[in-house]
Amino acid sequence: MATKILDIDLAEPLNNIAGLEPYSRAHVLVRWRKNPIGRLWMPIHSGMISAHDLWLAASREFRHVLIPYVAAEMVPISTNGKSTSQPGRLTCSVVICTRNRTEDLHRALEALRPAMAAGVEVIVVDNAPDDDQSQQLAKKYPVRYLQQPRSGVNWARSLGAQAARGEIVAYTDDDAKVDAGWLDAILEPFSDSDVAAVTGLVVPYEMETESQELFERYQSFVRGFARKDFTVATIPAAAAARAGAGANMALRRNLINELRLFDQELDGGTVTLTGGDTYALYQVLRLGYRIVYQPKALAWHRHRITPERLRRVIYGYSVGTYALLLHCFLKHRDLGAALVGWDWFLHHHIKQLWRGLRKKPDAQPLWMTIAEIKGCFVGPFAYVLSRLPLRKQNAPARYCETTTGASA
Amino acid sequence: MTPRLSVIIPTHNRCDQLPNTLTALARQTAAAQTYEVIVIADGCTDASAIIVKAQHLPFTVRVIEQSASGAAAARNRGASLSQAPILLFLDDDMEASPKLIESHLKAHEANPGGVVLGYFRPSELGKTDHLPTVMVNLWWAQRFAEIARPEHRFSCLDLFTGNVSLSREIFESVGRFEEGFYKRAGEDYEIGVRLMKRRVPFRFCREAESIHRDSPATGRSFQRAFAEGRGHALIARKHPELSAVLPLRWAINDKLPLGLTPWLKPGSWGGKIIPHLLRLPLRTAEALKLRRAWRNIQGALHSLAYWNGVVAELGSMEQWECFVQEMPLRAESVAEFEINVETDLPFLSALLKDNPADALRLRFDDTPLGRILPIAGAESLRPAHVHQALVHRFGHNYLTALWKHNKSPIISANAPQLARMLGVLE
Repeated sequence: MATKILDIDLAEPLNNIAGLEPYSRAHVLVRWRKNPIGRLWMPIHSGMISAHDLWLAASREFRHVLIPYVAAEMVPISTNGKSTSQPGRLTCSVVICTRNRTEDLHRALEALRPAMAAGVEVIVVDNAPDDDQSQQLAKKYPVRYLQQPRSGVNWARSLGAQAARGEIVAYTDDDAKVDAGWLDAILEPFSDSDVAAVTGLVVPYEMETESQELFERYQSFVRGFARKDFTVATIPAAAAARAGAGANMALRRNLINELRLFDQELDGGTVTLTGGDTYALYQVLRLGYRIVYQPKALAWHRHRITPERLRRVIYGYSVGTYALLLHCFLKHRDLGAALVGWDWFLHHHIKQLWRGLRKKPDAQPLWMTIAEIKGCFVGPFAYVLSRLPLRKQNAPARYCETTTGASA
Repeated sequence: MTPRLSVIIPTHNRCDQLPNTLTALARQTAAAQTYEVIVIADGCTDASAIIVKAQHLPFTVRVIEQSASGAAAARNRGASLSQAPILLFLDDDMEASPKLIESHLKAHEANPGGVVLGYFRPSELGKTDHLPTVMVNLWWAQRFAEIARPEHRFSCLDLFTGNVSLSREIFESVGRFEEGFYKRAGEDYEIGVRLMKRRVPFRFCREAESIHRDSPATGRSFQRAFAEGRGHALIARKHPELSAVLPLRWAINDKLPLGLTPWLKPGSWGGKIIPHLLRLPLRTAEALKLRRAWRNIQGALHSLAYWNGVVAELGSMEQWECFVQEMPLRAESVAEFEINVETDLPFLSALLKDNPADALRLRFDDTPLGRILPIAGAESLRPAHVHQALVHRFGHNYLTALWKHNKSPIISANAPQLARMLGVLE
């Protein structure tokens, strides 16, 4: 049965939640004064979750997380002031790369209305579209619309960064919907000059079908609810995927353009299927920058609905990962990347395969594991294939700008 | 007109970098009459002095040559020759940002009588993936991220003489740099200890930025570790209570990876041969970006160099062991008193200024909440530290006490459930 997505704030009045008959359990995002602090998986009894159960569960899970928040509000010292420097707020451009998903794009753009109203530049990059639906949709919002005819979400990201005018480029996917405080939260860590990228928390937007539930269970984007720093002092650069995903990340524009972070034949729309966002994070880590994982920058992601699409996505992640690791090994002489790949293969894929064969109760379904392992072996070949077309010239970007239209 | 600030730059055979440093000082937002620059060429065998004199600079610059006596002696000499009330110590590989001098001056105007720590960022950030450079840059970035936090408790270990300013009066009254530190590293920590004992406030000024054009060649890092070993031994002799925060005390028990500890003791044949054997694996790990292997080998060699330094200063490993035995476990005199969180918080700032404290016992009426521990070589406690302790360390006790005394305002409609959830009610 399906899982209901709920969003509660412990600082607000909490009532029993009713009307949940079609669902067997709920994924509850728990906040404190709008900051996400954790999530709960709650069973649903007779279509209802009582407030008492919620408090009980929250008490078990979040007591220690919440105490500093509450105590900070009670202490009457106004000393926990600003950090020692307050540089002027950085300008930002939001870039959404889309391809033939007009309905999802509509949802994403609606979520960005507060940003648009605040005057933030929003750029929609349409990647090799089949029709002009997305273009027509974009006309209804005060956004810039560009087309990237060369297939590949990485090329779309690259074009977005070249066209952007803000100092920070914040990327979000068309199947993701950002939360209210997303923009401020994702810009905040950039006040330190050694931070090159900030990634955010990605939680599921809906879990109506089994595929969506499986994805969240075994391939979740969630990297925890506490702010974390990533550098090569703590993780190998090739494990950059631990720092976050392209569905919710921001980078400095000058770095994207100088280091050509997205000018690679990687990621969706190309032969390697995924990996472009991870490669950008890898580059940034390798050169000694810091990546901040900022869970306050929240985005809701719509996972794939059907098993077939889920299988393709999982297969795609494997292909992209292993193609990327081979690229790192060959181009940057990064033996650490090969070790990360070997480690991942052994401790994740083989382990899951073993557990699936032995029919352990919480093991990943075998068809998912097999799709992953297939991708592991295809990845290196896909990488080799992807290098061949790069010998030809890059297709020039075709700007197809609309003037900022009237908001709908 | 007497300048308001003197920039003191000790230099030793960096004639390639020195012109850039001086040119950067020419491009300051502060007016050129407000500062002067004194360069002390310490035992320079290259043309440093000539190069400096040949440059056309808008500010007053003086070059003094002296025989090799060390950076500390050079800085003291520069300070004695300066005329300005504020001294800014800069290293010869620090390229000042345009706002450097202005920021230091402003910081001293806003809070006179303190030490202002400037910020420096690596010049090589983002240009190379050379493992040693990247690791060193990350170490510095982390240090500054730590220092910049409002609840950071400054310690003598935060003082880096590469970019720091203080008033000449304070500098002279604490006794200037210790000149015995020739060929030893750590004169900055040592003066930091004396400043802390005098309770001179430290402040971090992010805008006082310079670019650090360091070249962390691996060979030099081991030389530096050796100098550190010697320097820390000297500091520990002079200020025994600092042993708790220097690696000196614990390093003798360093368990090196690869099981090398017994072979690498200084003076043994292993200590002489194995470092040379390890150089090749180190370079290989560096080239292949094998982070963990590189760190293990680098750590082993670094420890060995540090040991050699300590032993060179103290005499032998046995003497080091005796020395560690004699080190006190805690400082002799610790200024500690009690604060009643219920009544004293609104006046905390004034209270801590009149009664400087190294440690505090916090209580709420009659309920003890916790103790903020003393740290050797660290600054007196400030309201920000008390806030940090109450919120992050004693949060549970504090909230329990608040609810018990019915002193909590209703922070939300859920106050009762919240209280139960946080476990502050019975």
